Amino acid sequence: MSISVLFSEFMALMNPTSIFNAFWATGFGIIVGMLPGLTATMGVALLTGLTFRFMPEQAMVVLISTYVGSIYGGSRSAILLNIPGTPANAATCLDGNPLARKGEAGYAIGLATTASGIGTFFGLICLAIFSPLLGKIALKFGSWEFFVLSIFGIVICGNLTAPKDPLKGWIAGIAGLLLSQVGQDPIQALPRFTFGELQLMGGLSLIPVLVGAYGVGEIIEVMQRPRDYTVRTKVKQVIPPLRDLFRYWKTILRSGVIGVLVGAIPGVGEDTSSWISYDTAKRFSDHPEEFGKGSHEGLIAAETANNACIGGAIIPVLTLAVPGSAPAAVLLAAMWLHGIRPGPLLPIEQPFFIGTVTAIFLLSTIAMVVLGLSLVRPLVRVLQVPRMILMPIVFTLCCVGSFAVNGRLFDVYLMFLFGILGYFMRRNDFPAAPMVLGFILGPMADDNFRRAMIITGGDISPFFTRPISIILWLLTLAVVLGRSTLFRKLLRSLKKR
Amino acid sequence: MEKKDFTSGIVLLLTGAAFFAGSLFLPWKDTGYDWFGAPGLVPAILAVLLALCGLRLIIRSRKERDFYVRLAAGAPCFCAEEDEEEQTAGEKGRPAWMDREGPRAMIAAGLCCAYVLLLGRVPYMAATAAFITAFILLFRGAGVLKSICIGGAASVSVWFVFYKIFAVFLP
Repeated sequence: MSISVLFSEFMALMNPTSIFNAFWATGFGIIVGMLPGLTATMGVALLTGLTFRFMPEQAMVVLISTYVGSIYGGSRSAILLNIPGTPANAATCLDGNPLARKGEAGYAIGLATTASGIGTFFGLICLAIFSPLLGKIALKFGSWEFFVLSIFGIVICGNLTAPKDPLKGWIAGIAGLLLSQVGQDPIQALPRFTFGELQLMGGLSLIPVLVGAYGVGEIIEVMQRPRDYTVRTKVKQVIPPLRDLFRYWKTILRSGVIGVLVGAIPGVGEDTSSWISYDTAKRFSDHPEEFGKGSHEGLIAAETANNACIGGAIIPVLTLAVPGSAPAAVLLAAMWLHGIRPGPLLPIEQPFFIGTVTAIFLLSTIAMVVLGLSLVRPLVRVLQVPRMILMPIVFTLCCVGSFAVNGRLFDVYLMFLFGILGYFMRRNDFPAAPMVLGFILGPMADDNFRRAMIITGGDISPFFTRPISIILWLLTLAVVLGRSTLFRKLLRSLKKR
Repeated sequence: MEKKDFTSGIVLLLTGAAFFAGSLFLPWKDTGYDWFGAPGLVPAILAVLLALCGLRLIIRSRKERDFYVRLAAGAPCFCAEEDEEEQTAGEKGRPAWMDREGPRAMIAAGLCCAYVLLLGRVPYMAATAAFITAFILLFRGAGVLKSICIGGAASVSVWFVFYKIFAVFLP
């Protein structure tokens, strides 16, 4: 994408409506992100339903700004409360909170804000450069490759979102794939698992499923904790830390690359990227002993990576229609709702859309930095609202968001049922992200598998002989075998010999 | 955790079996294509996979105790410092059930369920105001008058912002 396209798209966004939408949505995202229990996925899913009647471009402004704002917003509670606002900010706690305890809360917030801003900017540059390139490769994908890609996405997402027990991640992914089979099948339009219920003919709607699994599950989990949190650290002023940014430029660059690469992996997301980046920064640091005790470098590494991950997560959304993270999955659903068809044909059907998305990212990055550095005290006050006042209001918004898309109460009931399911999944250590990814990739996997089989007359060999498929299978196999204790024992015994 | 995994395994095994049986009832012939084009093919494969994963969970929970010992060892914990007086701020006069996770979760879920069932049967603003007020009151978030004020103000705000400004239909 040329700079002139990006510039013209950005200038097209420079109207009062877009600027207003970008600023309020970023502010909303920051608040959602900083409140423990409310995640970026929930924020974006809520607004997807609520912006249903917006023009597509303005809806994208709102949703992308919310996404950017919420991933950044989580750093506030991580620094001030030692509780990550979103899972993406867990690594931020390790050095952010010790800095706040030393009386450097303002400095830590300033560092997190600028690092997040740079991370998002790095992500958007990668988005602008690599999306068209990946789009060209995606044009070579046939039904075989799309099927293998969906399997690869589930396996790797399950593996990385449940690192201690990947089996549960894979189970969640398979459950998501299976749940997506409810409704009319995509080839012959025959009803599957509908039990004659008319409401199920169109399948389970994505937004109620997402809002339920992420939102309602979280509300119940937040409310079940007997203890509430309180802000005890005082923030006087936020200082933009330019000295540190120059000193740790290598860490920033490395974390940006890690963020984008992890983001581009289907379903993995911001939390994994910030942990990998934090760990890598510690390994390469001249002062690894400072990590966990208020290291500026550690804080920069975590915050740069999780925000750079946003750009990375959008790349496969636009080029392959495969989400790189859970909030990106909602964004993908929102694009479908607004009649935008992401995938290999996007650059042909809507040649300027990638440029528009990149420009929206730029606008939301500016909004995030401006709001992050200026609205410090009002945002701290939001953290002081008790959860028993906040959570019922959030639940009413979940209901409105689920109802708004199709205008039927069935979706509200569905949202509640998935909320209960999401709650039990959390209690039993099953990650929600692979289930959501499976739910999104399910129709793609089913459609492409059967289409490929019909084309070849039931011959499955092309799934294993086409070059891109081979690469994807090898990667999938490496992930599964890498986590298999039997395989590891075998490797160890071979090494001994 | 072993017990939880055992229960989860059984649930998954049964779910997989139910979906597999359901997919067998779907048409496999006369679909215009051979068996490989049948609508039940992919669900059947996925159901078998899910059931196998459930079986693996059951076996692991019964036979591989050392796995759970390894799993329990060292997970990073992000939690605010224990300080009872400050952390319970806002939850005045706590009854005994408020210190137990189970009843808290059940009450929260029960209130949400009641609200969902009220929607469409009672005017939206009344249902929302009643739900928010009841939630705050039950969890001791504020006094009666303050809870009613918050509930009323929140329901009017949601109606105004989403129905009047965003033009979103409300249940």
